[in-house]
Amino acid sequence: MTRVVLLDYGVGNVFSVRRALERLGAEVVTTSDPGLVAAASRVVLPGVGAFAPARERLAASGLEAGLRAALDGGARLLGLCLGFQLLFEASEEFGTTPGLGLLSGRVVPFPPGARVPHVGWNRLETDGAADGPLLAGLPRGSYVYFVHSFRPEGADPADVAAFCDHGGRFVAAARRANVWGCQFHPEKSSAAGRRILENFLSEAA
Amino acid sequence: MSLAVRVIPCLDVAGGRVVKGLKFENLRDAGDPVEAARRYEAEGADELCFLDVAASHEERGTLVGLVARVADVLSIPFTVGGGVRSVEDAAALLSAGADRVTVNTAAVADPALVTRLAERFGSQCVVVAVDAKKDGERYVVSTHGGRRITTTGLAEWVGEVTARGAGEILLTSMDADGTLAGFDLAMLKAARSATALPIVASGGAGDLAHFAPAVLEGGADAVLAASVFHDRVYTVGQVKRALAKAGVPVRPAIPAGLEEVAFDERGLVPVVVRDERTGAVLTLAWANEEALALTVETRSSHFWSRSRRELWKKGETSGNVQRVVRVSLDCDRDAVLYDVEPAGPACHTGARSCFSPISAIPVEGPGEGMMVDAPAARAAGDAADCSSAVPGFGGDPFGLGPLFEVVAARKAHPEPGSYTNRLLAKGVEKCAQKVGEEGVETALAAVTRDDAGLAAEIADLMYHVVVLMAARGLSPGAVAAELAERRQKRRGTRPEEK
Repeated sequence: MTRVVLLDYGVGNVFSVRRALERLGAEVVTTSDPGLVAAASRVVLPGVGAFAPARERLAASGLEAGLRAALDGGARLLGLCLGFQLLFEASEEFGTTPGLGLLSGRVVPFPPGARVPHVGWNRLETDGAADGPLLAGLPRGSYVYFVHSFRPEGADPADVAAFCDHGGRFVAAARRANVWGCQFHPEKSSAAGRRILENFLSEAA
Repeated sequence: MSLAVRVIPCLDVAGGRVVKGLKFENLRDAGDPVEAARRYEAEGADELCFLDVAASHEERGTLVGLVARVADVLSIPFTVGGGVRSVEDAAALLSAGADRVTVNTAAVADPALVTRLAERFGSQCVVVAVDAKKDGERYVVSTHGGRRITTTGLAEWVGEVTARGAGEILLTSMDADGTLAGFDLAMLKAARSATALPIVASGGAGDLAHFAPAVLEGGADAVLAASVFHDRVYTVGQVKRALAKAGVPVRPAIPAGLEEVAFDERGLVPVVVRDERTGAVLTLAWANEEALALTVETRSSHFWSRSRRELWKKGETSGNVQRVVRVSLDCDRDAVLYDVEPAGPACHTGARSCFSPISAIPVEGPGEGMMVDAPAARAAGDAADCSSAVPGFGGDPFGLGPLFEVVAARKAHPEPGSYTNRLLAKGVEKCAQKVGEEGVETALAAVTRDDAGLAAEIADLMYHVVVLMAARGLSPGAVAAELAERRQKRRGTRPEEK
């Protein structure tokens, strides 16, 4: 059974992520203990809400240090929604806040004219994206469930696993080595989401 | 915009139970919201909506408990409403796992509630349910489930809640609701012109053709319906396919496993239909993707008629429907097997099977005549079985198939003087007792009687086992599946014995 450490840093409800992983047979430990995170082989960084306070809590709680230690040890990280945005270099949500810098690019508002928040089922586009384990086995053009008001831009094309079109193309999923992330919510994306979480849990890379 | 238009089944709940029963085949408990939630997700629902119609303060705890149980199994978003009067009410539902809450009457009484909810949880969590009615030339907001009419105009109210931070409008036409005559397109347009927020159309859906106009003419971003789904008039998949045909973007609803089917250049795949109880081959027919999807969704055989060039449901006119127990895919993925419980003859001629002998081919061994029903090939072992689902009642070396048929027929249509019916009438306990007695007699015969005597006792025992299964409603397929699983395990753990 794969053991997954789910970061609890007081940002949003982690219940549905936890249950989705458990339904796939994972043993999930929800924790705010940096030591447990540092020793993990699979780490999920969830998140709902605003970027700046989440970033602050991550640093202040020591979880950021734990997370970096885990990554140095070869752990696989999955950032979801705000947790995905935190992986980038910075966010321009209410002023500029530096991110974790694990992926290149910045988090910016949708362009004027796009309906915000972007809520609902939208298609993943993989044309021009890099193949990789994140979306392995997913039918082309699968729909997944999004809820967000900001989006990444300027990601390294080699890291992009999928785009989505809402007010123009943006990066919906990315991976750089052992750092994985999705702007959407796999735990709310039915069979497509289950497949992505299975890929994350699997030994293959 | 490529956001999919959502199809949302709505469940009315009270006291933690679904109020209107759900008419799914095989639903163990038609009032269990958790089971209903699972089924709707599997069918391709994009979201579920639970509305507590009792919504008394005493029952808040029950609703929160229900939300937690649903959240435990569901991997699509779900919205909960009914009686949300405060930020605290909403917080309880959201922390139990709901993705969104709806407010209705309480927001009309206290519009600032919408602001407070949006500030606390974010707009995306706040759905304002608007019930409206036509009043003369204008649409007005009604409350208390349509029993009270306010003087507030629909457009005015929609504009106000938009400004207050609502994330979505769930618009129910109290004039159209329950009529099954179609969505209220004029009302939808009136609301559409008053807000840029997503609008969920509700009230009046009764026909497949009703859904697309709500989107294309009414400007809705999602369609919600209750009775057409609960009464199994249409599956979620049917509604989505109708929307897609009309050019509305939807998240395709393809039942799990079917995306692997290799259709031929005409978009068809051959389907072998087998009697689940006897193993008899009943029909060879053809299906397209829609027929397969409908078969899986409704658990009733559907095919594509190559001559009439149309979809057809087996038994639609004759009443001889086939309840589908299992759909299996051939190893090459280019042939499908339906294991069915037929309600009557499979063939339009009235014959049980569509196959009848064209010439007698002598069969080696003790058998005689034709092999129309006896799937002797499968008796050779399932190594030869290419189908990928749990195999059916394989082989039938004892010729139990016809016995199952007779006992099932007696159960369905009791005959006066039938020993089987007398036994069944006495209940499971009596049938079980008979199995015990026959078991002892078989054991005794094994050490005291000759082969013919032992065979007679074994026949008695098997007959009573079949009756017991009928009394309990246990299908032979359940036993076959258990045996198949054991074979699998044995192979997995001790391959050298194979």
